[in-house]
Amino acid sequence: MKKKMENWPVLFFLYKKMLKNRVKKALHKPVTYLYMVFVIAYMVLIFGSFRTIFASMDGGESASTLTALLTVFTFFMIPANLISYCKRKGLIFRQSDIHFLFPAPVGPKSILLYAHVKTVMMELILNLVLTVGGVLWFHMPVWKMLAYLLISCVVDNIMEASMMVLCYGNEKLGPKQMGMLRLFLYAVLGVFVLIGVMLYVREGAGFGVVASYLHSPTIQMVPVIGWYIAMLHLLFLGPTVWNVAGTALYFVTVLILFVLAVRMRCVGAYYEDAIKFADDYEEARQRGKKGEVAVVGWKKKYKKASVTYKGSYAKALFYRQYLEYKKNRFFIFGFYTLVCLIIGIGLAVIAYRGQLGEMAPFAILGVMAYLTFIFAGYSGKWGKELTRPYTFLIPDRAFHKLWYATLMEHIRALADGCLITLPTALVLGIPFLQTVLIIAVYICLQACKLYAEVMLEALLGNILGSVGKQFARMFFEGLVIAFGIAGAAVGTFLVSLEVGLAALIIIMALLTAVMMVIASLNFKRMESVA
Amino acid sequence: MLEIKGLTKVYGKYKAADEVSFTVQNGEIGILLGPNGAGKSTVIKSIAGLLRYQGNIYIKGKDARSMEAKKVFAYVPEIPAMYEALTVREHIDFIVHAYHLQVSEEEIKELLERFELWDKQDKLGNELSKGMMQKVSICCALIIRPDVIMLDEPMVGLDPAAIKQLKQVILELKAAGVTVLISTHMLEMVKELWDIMFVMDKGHIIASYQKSCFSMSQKQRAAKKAKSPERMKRNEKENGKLAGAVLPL
Repeated sequence: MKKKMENWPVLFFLYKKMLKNRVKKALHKPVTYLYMVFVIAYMVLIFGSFRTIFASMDGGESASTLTALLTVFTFFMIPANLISYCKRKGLIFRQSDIHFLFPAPVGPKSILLYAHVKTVMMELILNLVLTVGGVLWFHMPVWKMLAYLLISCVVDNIMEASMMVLCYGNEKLGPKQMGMLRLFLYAVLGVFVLIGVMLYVREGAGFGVVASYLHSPTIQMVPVIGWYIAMLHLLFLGPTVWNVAGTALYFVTVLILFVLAVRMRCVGAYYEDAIKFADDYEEARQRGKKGEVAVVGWKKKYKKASVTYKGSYAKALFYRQYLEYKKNRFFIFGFYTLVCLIIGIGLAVIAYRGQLGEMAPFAILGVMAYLTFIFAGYSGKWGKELTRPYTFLIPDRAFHKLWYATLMEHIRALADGCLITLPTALVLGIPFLQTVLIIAVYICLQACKLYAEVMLEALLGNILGSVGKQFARMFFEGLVIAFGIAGAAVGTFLVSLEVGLAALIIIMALLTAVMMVIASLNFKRMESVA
Repeated sequence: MLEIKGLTKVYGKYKAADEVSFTVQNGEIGILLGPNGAGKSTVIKSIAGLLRYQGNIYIKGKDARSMEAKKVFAYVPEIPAMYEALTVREHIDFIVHAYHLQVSEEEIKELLERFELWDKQDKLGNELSKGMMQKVSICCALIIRPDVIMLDEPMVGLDPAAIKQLKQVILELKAAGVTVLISTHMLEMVKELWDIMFVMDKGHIIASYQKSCFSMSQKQRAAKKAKSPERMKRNEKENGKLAGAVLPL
């Protein structure tokens, strides 16, 4: 035990230095202060709105609601973590850990705990907020909330860390036994679902059923997770036979798991899996940075395909992208296409029930604007083009390069626009011209979003960070849409809807073209203006 | 001393290392030579304790996975990976803490100056070029004052001055009785360094050469043979039977 404790100063050194340097670096960026203002304002708003929601509750009711909330929180946090530990996943080791930490004379179990501590920070913050919230929103006695904080941050973390060490660090159980453990955990989750289904069948839907589910004694008897929930019930709602038994079982389990984890031999056989996960994580991180959908461990498979290049210079960028998309399993279509299809069908169903009437074109346009404004949508391949030196070496104008690097995105927008519009247009028989104009509006909206993004990339580089750029993008996009809507309103009221839509398209196209010109700076040289 | 006995590493059905055995004595520089995909990295990562394997690896007579062995062992990976939020100096400080070393400020200064890092010690990990990262990685390995050091393709990414410096350091380590193992596929880089050479292909050691057993002309011939692509191809065909100067393992 003493030897294991000797490892902690070095791991503490790592945390301390990394945290200090990160904070120092962040404080040098003005955008950090902007984010801080946002976060504080958000916290104040949340605090105020929650207090209003819970203000009317009396003592007993609020204790019950808090227990139910913490039970839901438990469902989200614990089972997913345990299952990922069984798969020897979930702990994030970076390439630098593999380089410096794994070969060092630091105990493999300490290294596991080092990675674990990195993952519990968010949990600790959430628990702190819940503790403060428990006192201020739910009027719980301070001692109860402090006891909760102690148990959730110390006891529960000992339990989770012990489980993590036993699952990740074990060198005796083979893949079959670990698979069985995973199955057991899935079975535990299955029991929770089953109890819910039984209650639903017996009592029907409603808030009462949710409450009786979350406070059900059966839930509190489910091993480990249920026993933790029993402890929450004992603390906040007072003793019952079930929650006292569950709490006792919980503490005994924590003690047994802790002793087992301390005594278990571990020489670092998990390093190999950790390296694999670190590689996958790094790859996903890099892809995520480029704005792609990145799932850890997910490898993209490509089909065989070919294209005939019908053009030279910058046009080659388009044909190369076309070839890449042809090699994709679903060509240019992805998850977002599915979202558009579902929305299109949903709108058609509402229209079929007669709930849209003459407002249908406006409803479609509203949904389109919302989708464009809020959803990230596709990341597209233009971002990747900017990371490749040959893009800049192609002997063509920057504007051409921008156009051909983003052309495929307009084709995707056309496909999505059709999916959103056509079902409702067919159901309600919207005139052909109006349908075409609505689809064209969607293409303009998407183009506006795209070029606002490329323009900000050219102007700001990494100054605002991805979240800051997202806000800036929304600002410019909103500005263009606002001008467009003003034009559309004038056109519609003075002449007709078709003219209004045409005005919207023209104004948006013109403003987007201005953004395009600025955005083309990105394709001039391999660095942003900023 | 570094001893590898019957090291076997299997990925699914593929044997990346098959019954690999070799020894590098104290004060010797061993070279693990072979084309890409020969299994060198698998052997190296196994020695560093990063992979599960069958067989035994001993560092100074101790199981490579034991803490005692790790304390006297240093490893320079092929691709260095820095902690983004740590400075060059903090990387060194971390290693000093991790290995519980007693190192003076002068020693650190001397080492960093030697690799032209003294004026860059406040740079963060994510601000370094690949070559600089490699230099930091080498400094972190040297500060340990190891008994056994293993370098995976150590010259890749280094400028000529740093390569010269590194070669000098390796010879100094040898003189101090340190066991050195270098993995590479470029014989030219290590031709003036080696004492014993192990040629790997398809997960096997197909040949080993001891410098002390060769006359100068033989050494040159053997080195030429080992690096010639035709020779490598022929070796593959002969499935591990290298004609000429092959010593029994």
